[in-house]
Amino acid sequence: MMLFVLPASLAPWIAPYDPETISLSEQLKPPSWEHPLGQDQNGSDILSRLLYGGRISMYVGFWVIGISGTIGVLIGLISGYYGGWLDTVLMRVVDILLAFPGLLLAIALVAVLGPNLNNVVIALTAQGWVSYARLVRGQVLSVREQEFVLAACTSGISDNRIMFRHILPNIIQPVIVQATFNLAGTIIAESSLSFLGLGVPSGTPSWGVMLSEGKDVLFEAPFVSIFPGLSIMVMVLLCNILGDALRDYFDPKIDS
Amino acid sequence: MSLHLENLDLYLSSGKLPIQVLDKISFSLEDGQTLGIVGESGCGKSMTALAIMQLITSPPLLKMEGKVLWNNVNLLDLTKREMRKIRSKEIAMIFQEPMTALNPVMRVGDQIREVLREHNPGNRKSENKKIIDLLDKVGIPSPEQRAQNYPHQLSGGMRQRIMIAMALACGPRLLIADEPSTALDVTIQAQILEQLRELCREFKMGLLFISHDLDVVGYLADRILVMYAGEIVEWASTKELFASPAHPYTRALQRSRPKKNQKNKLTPIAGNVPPLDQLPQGCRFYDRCELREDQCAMQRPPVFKINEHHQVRCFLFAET
Repeated sequence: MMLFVLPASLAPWIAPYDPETISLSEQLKPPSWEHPLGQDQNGSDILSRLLYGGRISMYVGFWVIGISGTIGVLIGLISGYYGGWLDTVLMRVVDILLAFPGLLLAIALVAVLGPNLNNVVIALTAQGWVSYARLVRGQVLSVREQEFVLAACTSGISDNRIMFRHILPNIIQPVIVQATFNLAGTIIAESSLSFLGLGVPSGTPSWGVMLSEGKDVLFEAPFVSIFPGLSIMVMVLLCNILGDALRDYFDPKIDS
Repeated sequence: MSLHLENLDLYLSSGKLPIQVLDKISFSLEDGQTLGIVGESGCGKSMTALAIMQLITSPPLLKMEGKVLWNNVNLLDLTKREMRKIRSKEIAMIFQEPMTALNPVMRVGDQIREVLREHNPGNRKSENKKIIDLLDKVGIPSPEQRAQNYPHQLSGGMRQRIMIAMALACGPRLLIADEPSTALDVTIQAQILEQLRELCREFKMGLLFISHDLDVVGYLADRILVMYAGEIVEWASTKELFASPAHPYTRALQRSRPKKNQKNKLTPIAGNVPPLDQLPQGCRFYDRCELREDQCAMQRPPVFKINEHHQVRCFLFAET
């Protein structure tokens, strides 16, 4: 995982070339010693573009899980803790959002807001929080019935403190696991949006954009799309493996 | 400082039907006294405690009627915020299961700190000192280290002591103990009871002690309430209750506990408590009573006074 995060975050310092340099004389050059992963149809260095593109994936990934995680956890906590009509209303909102196919909602939102990086984050967050809210609500419902919550209540501790100090630390583990899987999903979603031209403006290096640019020259220069595709795949795979590992680590029941 | 319950009725919803869980519960507890409540599972002991603390939420709470007077203030009329000020600062409560009543992911010292901070915030240093003092007072050895432990690192007895320390943190005037020793083994149980008694004496704190164990209650309490199926069936001073139990249920309870040099078998009470949604029209103990009469099936016995310190809900005492 670090193999990806680190180089991507250090892209400006370690990338061998400027990712947006256009050198039309070197279009679609296959991998060589100077350009280990080859050059695309603008003659830009694919390795450099991949490194910079990784930054975009991370940027979107972390912001989306950060924001949607926070919103989702808050709403899940409130919904599960207070229950009653508030719970009903919030969970119906969740149901409505879940009724949309994920990417469709994001596409619609980006289409309305206009394609740029922050709107991609907004669009993916719009539905991203839902899964956290559901997860957290379910967990809160079970933890809330435990006696230490009643005991805290008996001690005159306020609802907010009970929610954040007593309940949240007890349920944070599945949320972390969920976040890792969510990171994978977000990276794919961002790539998909970019591929469809609804993500970052074309020209900016992003894995999805590179993939879509590569598809035009798939037969002459397959390496243009293979490398970003491979990056997406490996990154997502790593996220999923990390998620699995975290789940095993946190869940004593699967311990064998 | 005193607690008076006057005709407290509690209704909970179960499915669609309301069921009455507490029926006209009345008693009073003066400062520094110990009142015991005994009865078997499901008779409303714990519900009484939770009702006093206003800890039953809706649902399942349907309605509460009557009065819970604490220093002549009816707790049922207080807002949530006002009630929070009373909890722990004036009335504190400890629970049956020390295993689950502590937050598993928080150091025990910090859990006590939370309570302190909610009611009388101080700086970290004075809080630390107070926490150590409290732990020391409830008989925890090397309190400095223990405060840094998580609940799973402590034994059941220790955890119950931590619970008591938490309850005492704000110097309450009344402590409600809901079966505090039931989950512990007998030797630890004795230690905890002794500790509770001493602490109550030291802080001149009232104690409402709930247990299904008549002997344990008899050991601590000045006066005892016997509850059955949501109502009080007998109310007497401890001495009197042990010397001359009046209600057939109390007598049966007495017979069903082991004594020193026990030779014959214990006498269990036949049958079960009637479910609260199918209470008989007459006396609630009718089905299991050895001394039942015809009128018991028809009519609910009122409360009869045997003497100043002894009341009972049974027709056997109608003439007195």
